[in-house]
Amino acid sequence: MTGHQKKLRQLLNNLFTYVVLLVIMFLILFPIVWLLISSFKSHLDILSWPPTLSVDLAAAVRNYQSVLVGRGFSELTRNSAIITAVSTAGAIVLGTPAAYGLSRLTFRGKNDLAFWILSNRFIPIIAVATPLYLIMRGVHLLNTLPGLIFPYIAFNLPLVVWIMKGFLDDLPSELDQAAMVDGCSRWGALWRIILPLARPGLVTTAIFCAIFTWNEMLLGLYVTSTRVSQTVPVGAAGLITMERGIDWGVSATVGIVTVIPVFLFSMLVRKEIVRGLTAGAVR
Amino acid sequence: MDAWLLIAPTVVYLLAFAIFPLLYSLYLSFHELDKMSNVFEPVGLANFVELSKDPDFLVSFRNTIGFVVAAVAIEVVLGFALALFFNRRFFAKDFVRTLVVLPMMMTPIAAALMWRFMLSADFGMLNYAISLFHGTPVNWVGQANTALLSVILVDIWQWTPFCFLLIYAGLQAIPVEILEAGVVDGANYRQMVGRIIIPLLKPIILLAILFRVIDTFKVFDVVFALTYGGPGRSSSTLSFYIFQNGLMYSRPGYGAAMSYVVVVVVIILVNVFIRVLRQERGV
Repeated sequence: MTGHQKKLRQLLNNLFTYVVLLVIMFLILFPIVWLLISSFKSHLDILSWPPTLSVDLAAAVRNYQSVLVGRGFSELTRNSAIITAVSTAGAIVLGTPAAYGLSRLTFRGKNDLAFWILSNRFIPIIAVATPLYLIMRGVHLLNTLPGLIFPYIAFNLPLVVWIMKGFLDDLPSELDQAAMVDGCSRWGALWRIILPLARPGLVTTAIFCAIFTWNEMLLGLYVTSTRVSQTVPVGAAGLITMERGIDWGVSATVGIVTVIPVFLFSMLVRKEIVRGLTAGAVR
Repeated sequence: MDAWLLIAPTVVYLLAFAIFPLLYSLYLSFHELDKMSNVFEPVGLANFVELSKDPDFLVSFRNTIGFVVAAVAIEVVLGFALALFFNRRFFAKDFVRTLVVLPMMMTPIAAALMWRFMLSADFGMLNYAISLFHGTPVNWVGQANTALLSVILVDIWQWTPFCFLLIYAGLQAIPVEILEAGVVDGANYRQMVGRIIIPLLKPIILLAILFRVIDTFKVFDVVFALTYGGPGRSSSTLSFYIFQNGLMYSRPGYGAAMSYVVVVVVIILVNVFIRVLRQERGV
């Protein structure tokens, strides 16, 4: 092969790479961008054929006002934020000591216990939704934030234990042994020595709990029926089922309002996301 | 003693908020809500007898299986292809990878809303693209033979990135020497993939498949928001039909019985998953 042919081949190869790359980016981004554009259109503009790129600021203001104020999505966003923050924190506080115990101690059946905890991650929410509804009704927590927070902590716990155990396994156990020789208790070693070192792990874990909790809809449909306690996805579900003759401008806006916090959040923490996704499975 | 204090809170919490509701659901499956007195009356095996003859249940079951097989097969193949593609050299790879991960962060109900703007018969961009090539427009979500396909499409869009991330991480963990040895021995690209890469990645691909099968078997949100199970029952899945019985038709007992079909399948799959995982890690 001459040098010339080699160069041509390289060029074609590069061309192929970037064409495929463009197609991939288009398939991922176009639906999202189109949803954003649609949220800047009136219902009638969306229905016009062929579709246009023209946006209408007055329609945009109407859409966003109608969603955030009229349909209460600012309230729902606040509910979602509180529920997400508290159940993430709760799961981490409960689960991190367990992850530490499973990482450091040796006892019979330890691995079985670890895998049993993990298996709880897969419990179908549809199978526990009615019982959780009845339980929450029994303790008068229907239509309250704790009514969702308690179950969400349980759904997040297996993930916390699993991801944190992975991170803690990577920290040498000489660290906590040294601390305990110096007079720390087990808990002191965990609190003073290990947790500060495990911060990246905690951040990754928190991100995953937060995204899961923010996105969860099914249990919310069972346990909450008023705006006082509903989350954003449940509000979006209401738009679909309750309203006849759906307003497409409004519905695009609901989609955008629902995902913007998730997207901003994941852009902010993108390094941890990739690390965390691969942590559980490939270690 | 330490083990007990560290791990017990997590175990107790999971028993209370995951295992207890799961057993409660089993109890409910032998009962039904009496609409007059509003209490659960025992009905023996009646719910299970009913589901075995209920055409709506059987269709939902068949749809779920079809959905799982089609979605997971395509996601894994595309995810694998994408992982191989990412082994090429190109500009801003880290940034592109962040974008690729975006769909799986997206709230499922918002993703479904978004895809209505792609798939709508009246104003969908997919039909617009088809019309540009003078094809016949398709009523994607509105007709029985493409409704389930539409749900599959959204799932593929959302979850191919997950398979990609897992497989890509596995690919990067293959020691360079092994690949170099293949090149030295004169293997072409197809032989490298077929004889070296795929055999080495088999455990990871298997885990990705199991993970996705377990999750897709419970599909609910996208069905709810994209097709509402319709038209007719053509895109109804198990979770969706159970939800309707529990929350819409006032048949929570029957819903619980059907949800146990899901639970049994998931338990079997989770056991396989965990066996593979344990083998992989030698614990």
